[in-house]
Amino acid sequence: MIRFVRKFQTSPIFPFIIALLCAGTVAQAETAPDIKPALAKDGFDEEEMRLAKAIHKRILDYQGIKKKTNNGKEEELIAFQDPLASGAHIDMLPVKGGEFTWRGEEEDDILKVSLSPFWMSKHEITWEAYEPFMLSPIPRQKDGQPLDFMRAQIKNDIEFIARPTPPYHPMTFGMKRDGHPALSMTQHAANKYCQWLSFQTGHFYRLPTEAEWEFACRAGSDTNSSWGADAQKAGEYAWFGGDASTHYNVPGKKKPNSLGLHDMHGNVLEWTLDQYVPNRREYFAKDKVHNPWVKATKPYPHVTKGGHWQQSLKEISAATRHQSTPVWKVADPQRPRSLWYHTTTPWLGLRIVRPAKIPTVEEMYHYWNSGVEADE
Amino acid sequence: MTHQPSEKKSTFSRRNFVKKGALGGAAVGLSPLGIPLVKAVEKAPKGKLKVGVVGLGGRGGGAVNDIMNIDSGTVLWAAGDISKDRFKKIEGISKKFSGRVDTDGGKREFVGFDAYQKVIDSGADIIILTTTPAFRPVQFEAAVAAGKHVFIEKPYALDIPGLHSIVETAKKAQSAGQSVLTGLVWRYTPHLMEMDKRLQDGAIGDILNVSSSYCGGGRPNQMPDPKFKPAEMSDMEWALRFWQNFLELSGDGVLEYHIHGIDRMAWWMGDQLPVRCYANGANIAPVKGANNWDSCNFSYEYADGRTSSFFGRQIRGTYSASGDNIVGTKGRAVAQGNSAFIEVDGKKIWEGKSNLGYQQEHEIFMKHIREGKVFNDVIGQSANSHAIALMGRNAAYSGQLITGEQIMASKDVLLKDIKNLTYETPFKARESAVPGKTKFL
Repeated sequence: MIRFVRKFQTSPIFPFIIALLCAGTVAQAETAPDIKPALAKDGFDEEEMRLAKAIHKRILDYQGIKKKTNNGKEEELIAFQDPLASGAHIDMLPVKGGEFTWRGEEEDDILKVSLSPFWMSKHEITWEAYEPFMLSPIPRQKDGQPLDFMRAQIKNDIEFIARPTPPYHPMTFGMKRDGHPALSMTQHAANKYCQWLSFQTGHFYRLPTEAEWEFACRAGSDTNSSWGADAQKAGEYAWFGGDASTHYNVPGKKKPNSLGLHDMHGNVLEWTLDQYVPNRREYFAKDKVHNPWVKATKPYPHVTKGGHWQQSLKEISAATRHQSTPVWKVADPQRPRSLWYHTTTPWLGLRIVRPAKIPTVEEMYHYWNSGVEADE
Repeated sequence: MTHQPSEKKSTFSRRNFVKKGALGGAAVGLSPLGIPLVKAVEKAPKGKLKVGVVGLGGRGGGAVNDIMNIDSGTVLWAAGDISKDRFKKIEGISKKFSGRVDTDGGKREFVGFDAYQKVIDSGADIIILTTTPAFRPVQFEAAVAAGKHVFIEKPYALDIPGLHSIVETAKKAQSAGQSVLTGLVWRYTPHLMEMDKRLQDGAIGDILNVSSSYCGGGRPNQMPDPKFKPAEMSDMEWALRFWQNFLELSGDGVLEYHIHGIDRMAWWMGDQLPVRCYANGANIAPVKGANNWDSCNFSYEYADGRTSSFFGRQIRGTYSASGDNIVGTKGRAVAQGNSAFIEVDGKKIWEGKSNLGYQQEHEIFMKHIREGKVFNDVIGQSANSHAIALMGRNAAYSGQLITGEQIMASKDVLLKDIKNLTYETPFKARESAVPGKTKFL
């Protein structure tokens, strides 16, 4: 694997970055991202690395084709719709890079954050877009791999991407399904979903980092909510309501924020890539960070954002950080617990991002494989 | 619901026959023997209780975890499974419950079809039976004969002869002062227990009708096309690996899966055996090589003329929900997923919510064992739910009206000589049932 990584550094990625810079899709000069702990450079799971490499190639190839048919012009950072093989589609909206002040729960936890541009899905991912991934056409072992004795017969690499086992209990928790956000997947399942999506669309997808999520949610605002400080307006923008509310809702029925993103506040809680650290300023040990990511080192707690339909207005603010916990799997009757489902979270979903800059193979590997997905 | 009404006049008074005490007492109260037995009280164990698990799949690991969580005096003493890979799981248990796994350095970890007997003979006090359900009656009989308390995961009987065996064994356990817990977990789910109490107290009057459902996103343990079966793998090994697809090993989705919803329906109806059942069902989205159905509709009629129905489905991509609609003379109660409410005169008078009682069931079980009382939820409770499920399955498979007497007299044995079953035993799945053609035996 080390041999592969070395070979890669002299590969076509470098001219690609230059091209991207010249095209003006990346607004700022390349600054090293603040990723902590640093991403491992070796010791990769060979099979996962093989898949990352294959998908990376598909993404670069597709980019090349698009460029060719677009008279040599790079893709612009504008809204687009990504169709899936199942017939569903995902609307993606541009989020220009920029800076914002990141305030944490502790008073001294203040960070200046700068972010590179990305696209973010306009809506929370719905059952229509998620279920084709969740319900694998071929049988899966508990870790999501195809059965050993079937491997030789599998022709398409997309089937080697780990996928959920079938759910045992209804994952809609007695609520409606059509058009509604997919529910109760683990962060690992969400990561693998992004990988599966990347393979079939030729666009690199991942979960947003905690900073990207908050930046996109705030959309330039510095108040608790993207619509400002007026609590009276909350109902126009968000589904929430504490114990009085009875169900989640179809995304996009409330007003969007100024970037056009719907339901960033409320409806379903949304996964981010980051592990929860109580004080980010302290953790990064500097005042200003660029593309920060607290890479997970343990299965819990990870950060989820935006609050959900069953919470109060205070709990769905842009700054509020909700921590994942093993309690979310407390109703899982099996041991080891499922890598794929939380069993007590009828309010947990996801939204995806596509960074303007295509990451390296190694980065893709790390985005899609947390390595700490097992509970016990 | 549309139902062929019987000629019989309705004569019921629900509260007469369903009035029951608190849980635990409830099950035992229905048994012929009463509690507590002096013998059992004398035996109330104080210190360490040794747990032996037979079947280390997901539910085996889960049940061990739950029992060890609930009672800090338990240790994992012995384990058995037909697959060697499964024993890796013990490391995880050992990590979580430090110092409470003592399998004598692996000497009490047994592999093979006879592993159950070795676990039982290892000196364990409590046996957890979580193998493929076809083996349950044989293993339960052996565990009780050896004087053990037993947790039996649902389903525990896939045919009526198997059910008779389970009930016989459960009676023996009861008279010997050994506790038995069934893994029909909804019964021990706090908000439903609370709702039951209120219904017992007459919150909605007498219960007239219950309709229940259990619909999931798809069949568990998806089976590949049998053409993928490696040449060296026997038919029986293949079938055991994908047992949820085979009537002979799982009892159809009806027993394997839908029994949870059927058990709730039976609970609200007062744990009686219906007098008649007609039903339908089908293999709407068949899996190649599987003979289990994926859909069923059961209609039941009780001796007093009341009716109940059950709707079950396991087809991917379909609406999934699990719940009950209970209609009473004064109001109604609705359970849906993890929540429930009671409504009288159009007003909600109670609402409840909780997670499934996987911990609570073991809490009740262990409390009885520790206090020297006998817990037994088989007799009059889970055995009745199994009978109702079997009644529904047989009525649907055959397309005939099946009476309570007929079902209890069924002689059909799905898999013969289970005691001597190995991978070498020939296995040929029955044809998937066709109503009107498949005979009720």
